[in-house]
Amino acid sequence: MRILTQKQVREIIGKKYDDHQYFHVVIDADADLVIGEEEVQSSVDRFNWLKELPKKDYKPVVFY
Amino acid sequence: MSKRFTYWNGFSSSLASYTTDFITETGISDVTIINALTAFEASLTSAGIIDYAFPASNKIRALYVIVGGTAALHKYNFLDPRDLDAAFRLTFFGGMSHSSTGMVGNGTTGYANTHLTPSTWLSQNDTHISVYVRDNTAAPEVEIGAIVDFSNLLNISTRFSDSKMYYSANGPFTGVANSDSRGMFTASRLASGSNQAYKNGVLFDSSSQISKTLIGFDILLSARNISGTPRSNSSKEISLASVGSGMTATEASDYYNAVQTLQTSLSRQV
Repeated sequence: MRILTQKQVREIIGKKYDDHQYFHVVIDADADLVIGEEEVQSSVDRFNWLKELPKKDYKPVVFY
Repeated sequence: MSKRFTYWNGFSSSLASYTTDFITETGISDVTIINALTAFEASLTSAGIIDYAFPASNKIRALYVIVGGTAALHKYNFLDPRDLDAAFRLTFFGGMSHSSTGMVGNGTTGYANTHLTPSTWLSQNDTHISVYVRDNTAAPEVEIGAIVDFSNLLNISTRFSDSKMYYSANGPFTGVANSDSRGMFTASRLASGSNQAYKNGVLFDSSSQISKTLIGFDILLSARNISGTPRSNSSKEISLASVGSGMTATEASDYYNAVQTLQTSLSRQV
């Protein structure tokens, strides 16, 4: 996972990271705003800055 | 919708059909896929589950066959392959990967929106959802669903972290022990006090949970929509999914047999 600031979230929200798929930011159990590594690695060139963002392991919020 | 009956690769059909519409709209030319879908449609039609001539009688409203190997092709509803939300075309979000065997979320951000809202398109006591899963893992994940709260759900978790299948078709959830999440899972309701789960076409569990008001949020794949927020994202590969009317035991069995034959023809059966 990659951690984003709220400003960085606003730069990708509602945008496609490839021709057919949209970014989806989630809040993990630490209250961090994160996106998946698949989105980062598959994104088109204008989102290369995502590859510089800090990484972390995902801590899911579990809903039973 | 435009219709053609002969294709560049030589495949031809003398009759209009869902398969004809689907391959025309998607541009799929793989003969193995076309032949598999043709046989699949014939089986479903023979079982009375779909009927191209009388679509109002269809038991299935949205049917995702997930063939072609890419997001661009996996998004189409086999029964209405227009590239529109109104046709229940899938929209993908987050980390989703696509291949010839199906589509798989990353378990964290990935999911697909069907744009099918139960309160608009389904009936409270006449609903089914189905999903064909190729992975066996126990995790706090849901493969298809939308919920208002935990007393009113339309969802299937094929194998949750406690190794239970959780299912519901418009009402409270029911859990049943399940050690293998591979296969075809269906949740069906045909009466207010009767909700069934089928695994591979066989009755897997039945509950008397009373139905509740239809949910007003879009049904998601590889996650569930909790009052407008995608949650419980799945990392299990999905090779087919559907939403529609409730199914009898016979229909669930016939549906599974048709789906399994399709998956076998595509060399991705489990």
